[in-house]
Amino acid sequence: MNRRVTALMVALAAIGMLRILWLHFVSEPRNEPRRAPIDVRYAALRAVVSSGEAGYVSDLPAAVHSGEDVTTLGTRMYLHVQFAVAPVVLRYDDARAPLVIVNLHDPSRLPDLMKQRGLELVAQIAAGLAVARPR
Amino acid sequence: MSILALLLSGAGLVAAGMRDRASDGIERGFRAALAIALGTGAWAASYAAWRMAFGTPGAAKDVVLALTGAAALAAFRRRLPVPAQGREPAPRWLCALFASACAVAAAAFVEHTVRFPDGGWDAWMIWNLRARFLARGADLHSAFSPAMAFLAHPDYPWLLPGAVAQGFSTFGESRMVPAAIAALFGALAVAVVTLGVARAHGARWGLLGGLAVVTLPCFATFASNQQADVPLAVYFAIAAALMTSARSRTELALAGFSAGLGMWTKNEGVLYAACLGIAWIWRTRDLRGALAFAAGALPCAALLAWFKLGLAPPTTWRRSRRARPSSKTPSTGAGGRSCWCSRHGGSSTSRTSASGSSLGCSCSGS
Repeated sequence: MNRRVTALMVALAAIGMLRILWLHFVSEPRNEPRRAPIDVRYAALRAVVSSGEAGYVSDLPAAVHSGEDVTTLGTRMYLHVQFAVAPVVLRYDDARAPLVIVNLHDPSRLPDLMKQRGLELVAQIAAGLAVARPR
Repeated sequence: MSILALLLSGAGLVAAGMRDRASDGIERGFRAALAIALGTGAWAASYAAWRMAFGTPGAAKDVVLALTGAAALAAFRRRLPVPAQGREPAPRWLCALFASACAVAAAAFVEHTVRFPDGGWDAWMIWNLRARFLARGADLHSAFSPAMAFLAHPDYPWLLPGAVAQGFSTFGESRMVPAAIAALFGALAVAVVTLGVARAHGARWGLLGGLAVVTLPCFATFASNQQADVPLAVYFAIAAALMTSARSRTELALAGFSAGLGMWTKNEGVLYAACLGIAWIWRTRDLRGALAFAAGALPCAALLAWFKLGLAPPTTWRRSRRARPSSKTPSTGAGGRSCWCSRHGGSSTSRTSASGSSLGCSCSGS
C-alpha cells in the first residue's frame, strides 16, 4: 500500500514538474511578452503630482464597481497610474480636481479630450500622458 | 535591526509555545521555519499596530520586538528534550527527486518574476500599492481612502504590505523587496509542509508531502505573482501542523497565533481560523484546548477588529451596492460609451492575458 501511494505521488509530481517546465520555459516565452515595469511610463508623474488627491481621466473606461469587467485595458491603465503615483489618491473621472492626470490609449485625442473636459495642460509627461488642471 | 527583531521575535514565540527541546534535525528545521514565518508575521503585525497607535515607527518598534523576543528566549530556555520517535527514513532517490522539484520551482519563480517584474495583478494592484502608500506617505488614512479604486481593496488586512513597506524603508524601494518576500514565503510553504509531515510520519512522507506542494503547477506562479494566498497558506499549514501534533496548550496557543497571522493576511483567514477551531472541538471535544487556540489568535483578531472598525473603509461589496444604481454606464469622456458596449458584447479574457488590442480598435469612435 505504501509503495503504491508513493508511486502515485511520484508520478503526479513528475507530471507537475513537466507542466511547470512546459509553461515557464516553452509556452510563456513564445506567447507571453515580457512586461515592462509599470514605473517606466508613469514614474515621472510623481515629480508633478506628489501628494493629496488628483483627478483621473482617460479615453478608455475603467471598472469602478464590482460586477464590471475588470480585465479591460482602461482598468489596467487607471490602476497602473494609481500604483505609480501612490500616496496620491486618484479620483476616477474627476476633471474638477486641482490637478488631473490624463492618460490616453490614443495620444492623438489629447487636445479633443482636454477641450471637452475643460482642462488646460500643466505638463506633458509622455505620449498620451499629461497633467492638467481645470480651466 | 529589522532582521534581528524578526528572528528574535520568531524564536521567542517558538520557545514560548514549544517548551520541550528539539530532539533531531527535522524538529529543529521545523522550528526554524516556524520562527522565520511567525517572526515575519509578528514583525509586520507589530508595524501595523504601532502605525495605527503612534504613527510611523522608527527603530524603537524593532528594538521593543527584539527585546521581547530575547526575553522570551531567556525565560523558556530550560527545557526537557522531546522523546525521539522512530521515523521512516527517506530513500536517496526521493531526496534527489525532491531537490530537483525544488530547483524546477525556483527556476520557474525566477523566470516568472523576470517576465512580470511587478508581480501579478494582486501584487501591484493591492499589496504593493498599499506598501507604497505606507512607505511613502505619513498619512495612514490616505492608504485606506474610500475614494480609491475598489479594485485596490483598501479594506483588506495588511500583513504582506506591512512587511513590504518595512522592506522598502530598510532596503529602498526596489522591486527586489516584494520579490524576495514572495520567495521567502514560497520557500516557507514547502518547508513547513515537508518538515511538518516529516516530524509526524517520517522523512519519506515528509518529502512526498513537500513534493505535492512544490510540483503543483500553479505554486511557483502564485509565489512569483506575490499573491497573499501563499503567506496565508504558510500560516494555515503551521496552525494545522501544530494542532495535529500538540502536546500542550501552549502549542495550541502558538497554532492560534499562526492562524491569527493568517487572519491579518487575508479576509478569508478569519474563516480558515474558525474552521480550524471548530474542527478541533469536533475532533477532540477539548474546550480548554479550543480556548488556548482562541487566546493565541486574539492579538491578531484584535488588530484586525481595530483596523476594520477604526480605519478601513466599507468593504468592496458594500461600497459597490451603495454606489451602483447611478452608474450603469460610466462617464469617461470621449470613447467611453463605445468601449463599454464593445466590452460587454465581446469575449472576456483572463486576468493575465487581458490585452487591450481588441478594445483599443473598437474605441476609436465616440
